[in-house]
Order: sequence, then structure tokens, then C-alpha cells
Amino acid sequence: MREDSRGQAFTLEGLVSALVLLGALLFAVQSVVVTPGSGGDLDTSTQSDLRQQASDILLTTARAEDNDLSTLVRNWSQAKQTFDGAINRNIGYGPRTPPGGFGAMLNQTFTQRGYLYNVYVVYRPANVSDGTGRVPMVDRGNPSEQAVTASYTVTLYDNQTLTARNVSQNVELWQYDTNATNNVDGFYPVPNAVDGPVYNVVEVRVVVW
Amino acid sequence: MVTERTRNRAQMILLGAIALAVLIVGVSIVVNSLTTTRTAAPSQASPQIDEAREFGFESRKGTRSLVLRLNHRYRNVSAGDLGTQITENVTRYSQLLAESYASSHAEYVSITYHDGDSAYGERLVQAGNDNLTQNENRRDLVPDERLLGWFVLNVDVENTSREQAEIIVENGTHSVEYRLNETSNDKLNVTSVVSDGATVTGRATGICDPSRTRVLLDLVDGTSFSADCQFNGTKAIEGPSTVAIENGDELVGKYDLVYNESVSTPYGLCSTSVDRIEPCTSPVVWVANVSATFDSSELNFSNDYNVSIYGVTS
Repeated sequence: MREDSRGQAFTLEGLVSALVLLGALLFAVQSVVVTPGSGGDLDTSTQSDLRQQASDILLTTARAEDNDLSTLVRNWSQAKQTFDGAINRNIGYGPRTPPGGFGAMLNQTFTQRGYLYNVYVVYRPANVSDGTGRVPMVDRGNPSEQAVTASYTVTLYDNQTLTARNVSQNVELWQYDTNATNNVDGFYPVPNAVDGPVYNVVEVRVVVW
Repeated sequence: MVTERTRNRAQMILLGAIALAVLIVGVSIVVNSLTTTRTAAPSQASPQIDEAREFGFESRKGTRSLVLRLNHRYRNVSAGDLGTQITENVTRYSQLLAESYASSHAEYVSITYHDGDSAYGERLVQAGNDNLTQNENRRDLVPDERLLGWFVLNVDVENTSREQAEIIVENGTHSVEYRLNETSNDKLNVTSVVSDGATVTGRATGICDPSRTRVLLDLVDGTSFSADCQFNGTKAIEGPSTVAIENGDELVGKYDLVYNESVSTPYGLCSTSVDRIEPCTSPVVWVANVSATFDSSELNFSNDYNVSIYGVTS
């Protein structure tokens, strides 16, 4: 009888040990922080780094002496009706590198490290009801769920001219038409958004994934 | 069969299990806190600091460009009308910026121009194409010493003489003299001579190619707008200066000159009754006082600052 009691105590101690261990494991599993990057390609730290790098590239280009962001936004070819040196209006430069230091920095920072990027020029409409418009400068496909975005705002003025090669420097922005089929006035997709010397406020948006 | 020895072993298993459980709980707490620290720290405030910095830079640059354009947009304008024009245009610009920031960053930004706190300068302009003077006598354009912010000369090369005309910018004993004439191959010769008293300290000659028979010169920076010719700018001498022209009848074109304070000149205020080939004066904003507001979830600021439109501080 005494030996039976000892046997039951031994069994109970084993069960208690198992329960304590299982409880600890359950607590540990439940308390692990599930970050957005845990199940995908980019962890949060990498996303933060990429966003900062894209932001730095935009800032550096905006303050550059040559080929600054304003120059790049106005680098529009009348002959090809897309950015000068680009493939077409739908994908812009696509797999090609954009011109100037901007393209070189994007290539060095992202392409050479295996990341993809898109660059869009987002403009204000002539009529607010039309919503914002977007011109792809570089389109390399659909961004993944982990894509990060950085943007920089650039102001265009009525009396500025397009900067592409072989474009007349005597035609100012306000003189262009936003209708691509108008061969008389020339075509530039960004419209004159307000009266006065300001032409439009555009956002250069870089998406990296 | 449970003996005293096996019972001790069972208690050791229980104690070991408790120790292991404590270890697992401890490690999970440490790992958890590390992960939380890494993910939370860099992602929130940092992008908004960058965006605020970007807005601060762009709002100054944009306001300067906008006011500069409005200063030179109209000839016949009073100070009150110019102030109203600038207020309206800065408001429109602010609305565009606000729409752009709201749609892309979910942030509110605004810029407000304060005309009462802004400083006005004066602009001397000859808007029509003509000889700069009607005879060879010296004519003072700016007779009192003033800070020069803008001096653009649009030369009609075809009608300019091959004899030299001189523009003299003087500051006490320092001076820059520009000698301009058409060359034998229909270009414009611009020779600048920088002097300190009787000593010549610098000399540069630029041969400028006309575009549709005209050359646009920036005398402050010392270059043509097409950047094909360089010479000494008025920046070669520091401080307030006077401006005069000699043999102005040899030079044909138009000009636009801005300085920080009005001077007593024979030129009247510009109006519709003043011929475009007659020099006249009009007000310009020399320093614009602006408030910039940035409002986001993590960062808010409002800043009053002065924007020097011509990059010259008094």
C-alpha cells in the first residue's frame, strides 16, 4: 500500500514537471514579436535602411548643380514623347539607368545590390476633381508587399523650358499642351496647375523593393 | 518499485524541469525586448525629420524663386499691388504644396507671406530696345552707393556699335569697368577690368555668341545666360556700389537693375504713360518675410524667416 502511494507521487511529480515545461514553452512561443518582415524578404531594419537611402538620393539630386530633380523632370523629348533616352512612355527608362548622378546613385545603391526600384513623377491636376496624375520615369514592374517609398517635392515654373536635347529653349512650359496628339504646341504631360508664375508642384517618388 | 533512490531522482527531474522553464521564460523575455527595440526605434520619427528638412529647404527655395519672378513680371506696379500679387501667389503655391504633401506623406504644410515685415528695394528698368543713352556723356544709373542684387543687360548685338561703351560699377576706390562692343564677326565683346585705385587687379574678356542677334548678360555673376562667355561680375568688388554708363549711345539693348534701397534719380516711377524705352523705377521685394508650418503625426513646427530674394544680405 505504501509503495503504491510512492508510485502515485512519482507519477504526479513527472506530470507536474511536464506541465511546467510545456507552460514555459507556450509562454515563450506566444511572446515572440511577429515583425512584418518575419515572413517575407525584407525585415523592418532593411526597409528602414532602403527608405533612408532612397531619401538621401533624392535629397542629394535635388541640391545638385547639374541634372538636379527639376532638370530631370523636364528632360522630356518631343520626338519620342517620353523622357529623353527612355524606352517608351509606359515604362520610362525601364531597365535602363536614368541619366546623371541620380541614375548612377540608384544603380549603385539598389540595382547592384539586387533590389528593384520604380521612379514616378506625380503631379497636381489642372482641375482638382481630376485627382493626381502620374508619369513613370522608371517602371521595373509591380512592387512587392515589402516595398518602401521615398519622395521629394519639386516646384516647376511657367517660364522654365524643357531640358531634353534638341528641344527648343524658346518654348516655355506653359506653352505646351497636355494632349499627346497635339502636334502643333508640343506635348508635356504635366499640366499648368495654377495661375501665376508657378506651373506645378510635382513629387518625384522612388519605390524600392 | 519506488525506492528512496528513485524518489530522489524524481525530485531532481522536477527541479530540473523548473530550472529549464525559468531559463526558457528568461531567454524569451530578453529576445523579445531586443526585437521590440530594434523594430520600433528607427522607423517612426526619422522619415518625418527628413521630410521636415526637405520642406524647410524647398519652401525657402520656392518662395525665393516665386518672389523673384513676380518682382520682374510687371513694370508698372506700385508697392501695394506687388505685395498683393505676392500674397496671392504664395497662397496658391502653399495650397499646391499642401495638396502634394497631404496626398503623399499625410502631412500638413503651409507657407504665408507677410508683406508688412518684408523689406522693399528698387528696380531701374529700361524695358524697350534702344540706345542706353542718347549721347556719349556719363549718366548715373545708381548715383548713391547701394547693394546690387540684379543687373541684367539684354544687348541687341546687331545694332550695337563697334565703338566701346562703358559701364562702371564703383565702390570707393574699387571698381569694375565693362567695355562692350560688337566684334568684326558679329559677336559681342565684353571686357571687364577690376581696379583698386589706379592698380588693375583683374581683367577678363568674353566673346559672346548672340542668339537671334541678342546676348543676355548677367553682370552680377559675370556670365552670359547661355554660359558661353565669362568675365568679372560686380561681385568682384564687395559692398554697396554706384553704377554709371559712358558712351551709352554706342550700346543698344534693354536692362534691369535691382538695388536694396531707393535713390534720388531723375527717373520717374514706371507707369503706362512712361515710354518703354525710357528708364523708370518700380518697387521690388528685397527680403521676404515668410512663415512655414509643418504638421505631422510625430513632428510639428512653425518657423518665421526672412528670405533674401537676391542672395545679398544687408
